[in-house]
Amino acid sequence: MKLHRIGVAILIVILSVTLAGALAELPSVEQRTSTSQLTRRVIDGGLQDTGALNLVSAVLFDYRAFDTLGEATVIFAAVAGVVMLFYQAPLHPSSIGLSMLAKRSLDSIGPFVFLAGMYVVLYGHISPGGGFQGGVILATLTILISIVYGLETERRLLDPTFKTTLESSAALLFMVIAFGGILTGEYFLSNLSAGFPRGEAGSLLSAGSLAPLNAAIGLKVGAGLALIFYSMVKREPE
Amino acid sequence: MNDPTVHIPVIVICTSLIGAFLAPVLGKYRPALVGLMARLIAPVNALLLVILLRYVDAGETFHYYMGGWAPPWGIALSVDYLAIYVALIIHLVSAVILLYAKDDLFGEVRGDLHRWYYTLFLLLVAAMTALAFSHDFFNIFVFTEIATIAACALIAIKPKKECIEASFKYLILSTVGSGFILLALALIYMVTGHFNLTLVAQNMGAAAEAYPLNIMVSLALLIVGFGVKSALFPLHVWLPDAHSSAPSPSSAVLSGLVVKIYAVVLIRIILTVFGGEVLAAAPIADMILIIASVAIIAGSLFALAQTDIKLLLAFSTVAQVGYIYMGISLLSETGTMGGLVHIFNHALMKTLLFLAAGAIIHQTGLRKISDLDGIAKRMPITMAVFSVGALSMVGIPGFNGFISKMYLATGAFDAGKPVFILVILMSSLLNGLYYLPIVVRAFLGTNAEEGKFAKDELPLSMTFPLVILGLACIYFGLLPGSLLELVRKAAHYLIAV
Repeated sequence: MKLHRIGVAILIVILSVTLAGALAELPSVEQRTSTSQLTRRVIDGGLQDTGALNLVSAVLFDYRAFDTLGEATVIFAAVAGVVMLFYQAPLHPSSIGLSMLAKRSLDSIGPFVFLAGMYVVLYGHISPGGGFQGGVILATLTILISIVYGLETERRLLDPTFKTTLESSAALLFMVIAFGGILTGEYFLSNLSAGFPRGEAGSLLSAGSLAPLNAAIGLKVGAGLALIFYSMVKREPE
Repeated sequence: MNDPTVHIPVIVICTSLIGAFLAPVLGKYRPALVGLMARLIAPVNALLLVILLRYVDAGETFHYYMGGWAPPWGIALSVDYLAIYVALIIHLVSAVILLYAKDDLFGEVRGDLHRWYYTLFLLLVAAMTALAFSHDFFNIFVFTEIATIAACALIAIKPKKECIEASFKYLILSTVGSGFILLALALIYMVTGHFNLTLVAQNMGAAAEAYPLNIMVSLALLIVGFGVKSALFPLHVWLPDAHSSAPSPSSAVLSGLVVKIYAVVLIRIILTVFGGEVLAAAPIADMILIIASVAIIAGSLFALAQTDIKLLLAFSTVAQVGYIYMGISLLSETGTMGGLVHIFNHALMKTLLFLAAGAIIHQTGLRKISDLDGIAKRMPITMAVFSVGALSMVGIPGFNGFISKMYLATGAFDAGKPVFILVILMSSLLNGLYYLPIVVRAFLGTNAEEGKFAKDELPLSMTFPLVILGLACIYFGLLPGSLLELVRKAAHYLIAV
């Protein structure tokens, strides 16, 4: 046992030294010609290419939208795994939530949390934010409700079946928009070139398919994370 | 306007994804339809891939740009022979497994979880297909993650302690592997400035000169990362438990397909991206060759010691992954062909063996090899196809395993390393030692029940896939012509670069 630990320690030291050496060798930012080329193109041409003011969203939902589909699918796979793992566990029946004070506070801030979430999702192509971030905010709202009002109330408001349906439909919406590119004779996930309207830069309805893709990811991530939380806490306490 | 055929890779990936998205909702209201949908998607996609193959045969291989963005800005899919070959294997084999899963699942997975099972299965198929086609480092990482999570969940779906434990072990080790891969990608991006495999390959020479340590470290990280996921010895420790405790259809897909996809991705990266210069600077190929040889021998020896039939099959997979690595790191045309053709042949045989073992467990509940004496009297069809799989594994002429071994041996000879022929021969001997006794005792065992041969008490949906796989093993052992032609083209893609 002890020998084993010493061996592991030696391995970790070797690994760290090698990695540190590799990092020390790396070029500084000014020296990195090829990556700066890539960055320059996105900064200079991103708005022209995608119509989005938020260039991070332009990369996530246009240039590399296929990765985003993959990342959202990672969350989908995680949700499926968690739901399945905790499937057998029964619902905790007697959850009455916190005091009235907490409930009234949530009543007043809840709508604003929802608004903030929706804002971050829908303005993802204009200002910092986007589907992933906004979706997480929306999911926290369901978590707040389960803690403050109790899980039973949350379940009545948002049935797990409804969440699953919402998550799946959002994912399918993404697919429909993505296939729009093929139907117009362009490529999978084509945006402006497939005829999605460019709109006026900075307005809500601009940047072609970016906004609807953001909305789809927002709903999918929100519903998915809410489902993960629900599945994990519904366990009966020991 | 594009010819619609060029979209087939995307369509194949996305139909599986759409199926996965639909399954949980559809399964809630119409449970029967989910399985039907899953069973339709795989063969239809296989058909589409055949059309794509014809198209590529008539013209040439091409790259598909997602969203129309050419690299370096966008993500490219490489539609080459290797990708089509691997994708075809994935869809053909999973079509058979899904057919089998229809009735087998009822014995192993709770009824109301079936929809989630199909979701995860389709996600896994989609991710593997994307890995076969992807020509972009970060894209490869993303789909590696999907495949990892889906594979872990497919093991844990059985409500048993050992499944959860095996899945957890797999998850932890696999995640460490993912971390290594991500780190390697970051280093590669920093020194070459690209994610696209072709562009990285173009910048590799200059980068290797300016930052030799970075390139070596990233190569090492990639080998370890994908090595864990493809169970390259000695990084295989998670595999036996994971593959033996999972439901039989999961075992079949994990052993038959998943580990090899990572091997293909790693080999594609090493050979086409790092290329000759880096391989010449360090004896990477020879190192993999030695590791693979150890894997072949050690995996077989471990398998010899097993008493549980599914554990035996799982350890045998460790050895068989070694064959694939060995063939390709021989760096000769015939050797590469041997490694690639073994991906297909092993997918057939191991799927067959796992499904046959699953059928035995389904009907009799027996898992211990010593309990299987005379089992052929009760399950003649299952044991007959099991024998076909076992004979293929040993490499008897006339079965498909022989073709792989012949090419591997010729490849070793062509590469001027005849010592590896000895490894192959030794492993065949070991394979014979642990597979043939099962077959012999099943047919001639002493505690065979009195009376005549009975018929298998299996539903047609389980015997039919078994028979199909058994016939395929024999067919590709006798007439491997068309398969070898495709494999030759795929091998040329790997070696030509």
